[in-house]
Amino acid sequence: MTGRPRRAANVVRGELPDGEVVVSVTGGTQALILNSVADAVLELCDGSRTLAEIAQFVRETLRAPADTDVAGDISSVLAQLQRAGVIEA
Amino acid sequence: MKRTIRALTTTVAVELADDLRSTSLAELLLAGYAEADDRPEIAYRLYRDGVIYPDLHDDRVEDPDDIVPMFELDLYQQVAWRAKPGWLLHAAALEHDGGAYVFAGPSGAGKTTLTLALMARGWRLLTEEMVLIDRELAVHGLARPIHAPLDGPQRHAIPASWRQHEYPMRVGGAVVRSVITQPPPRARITGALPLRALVRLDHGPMLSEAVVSLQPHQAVPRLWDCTLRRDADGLAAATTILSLRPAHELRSASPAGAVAQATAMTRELAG
Repeated sequence: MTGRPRRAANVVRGELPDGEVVVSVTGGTQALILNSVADAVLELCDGSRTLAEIAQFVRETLRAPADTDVAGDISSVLAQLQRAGVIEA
Repeated sequence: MKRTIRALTTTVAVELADDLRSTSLAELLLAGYAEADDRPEIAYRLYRDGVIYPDLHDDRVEDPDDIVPMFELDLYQQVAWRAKPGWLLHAAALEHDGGAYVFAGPSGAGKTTLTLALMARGWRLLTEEMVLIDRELAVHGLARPIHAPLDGPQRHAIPASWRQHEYPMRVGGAVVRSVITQPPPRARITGALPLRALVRLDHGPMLSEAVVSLQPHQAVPRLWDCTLRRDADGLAAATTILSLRPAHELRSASPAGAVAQATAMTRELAG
């Protein structure tokens, strides 16, 4: 993904009892379950950050080990969110 | 003939004018709905040349066979849009031991086949098409007749004693002929019932027969595509309901397998 991902305007969000988050878009057929990291990534998608900047933020916040492919994982999450229409690239 | 019916949670007045040529079809379409005695929220008039809709728009048709299907389509859109808050699903619902079992799935998932098979085993029909689960976990069903393809296997599962009527529907430019059938009153139930369980139907020749319990985080995505009001309120209702009542996925390779699995599942839930 290139550009600065932005959360779509018509996102709907719910919470399950175990703390997981479910997101979709109004009228969308797909609902995605997000763990806390994916939920935080979605929050960072405000149109001001690139994928690299989001990855850097997550890496620092989570203190991820150096050999963890944070950017790759986040790219995968963003691709899923984009396919479901939850973010726009 | 004039009737005031309860369609899901909406009170609807319907007038069948004396000059309507498809009166028997229209009467059968309406036969399953309970009478309502409160003020109608919307009103229709079906007459020889067309349908007068709730907004008073008079839609005249060239083919009188189009009148009842046009009315039916608009009625379902109106009642879905007006349904009280809750989770609105494209699903069948049947009563067993006083509780409602909701079987959700897209068109072709096996709702009609399973519905007919379970009714043959004494389950009562709440709806074969549209379900509203409200915030009190009560299940409401749209009491439309069962629709079956004219030459499909579901048609052969309809008991000969049930009232049936050929039903022409225009799909694109072509007319697709199916039948609608209305089970006798003893085989139907109207009104709200407590939700016992939600079941996602999944069938295919390569699937192993199984009923799989779904946790809420699995159930929401599996049932979301069967949701008719896919908005923030719908999602909130779905997450709440799935946190409070069990959900399952019923996988089957054949209609007989689906019935066996559904029967076993209810025994387990009752036990």
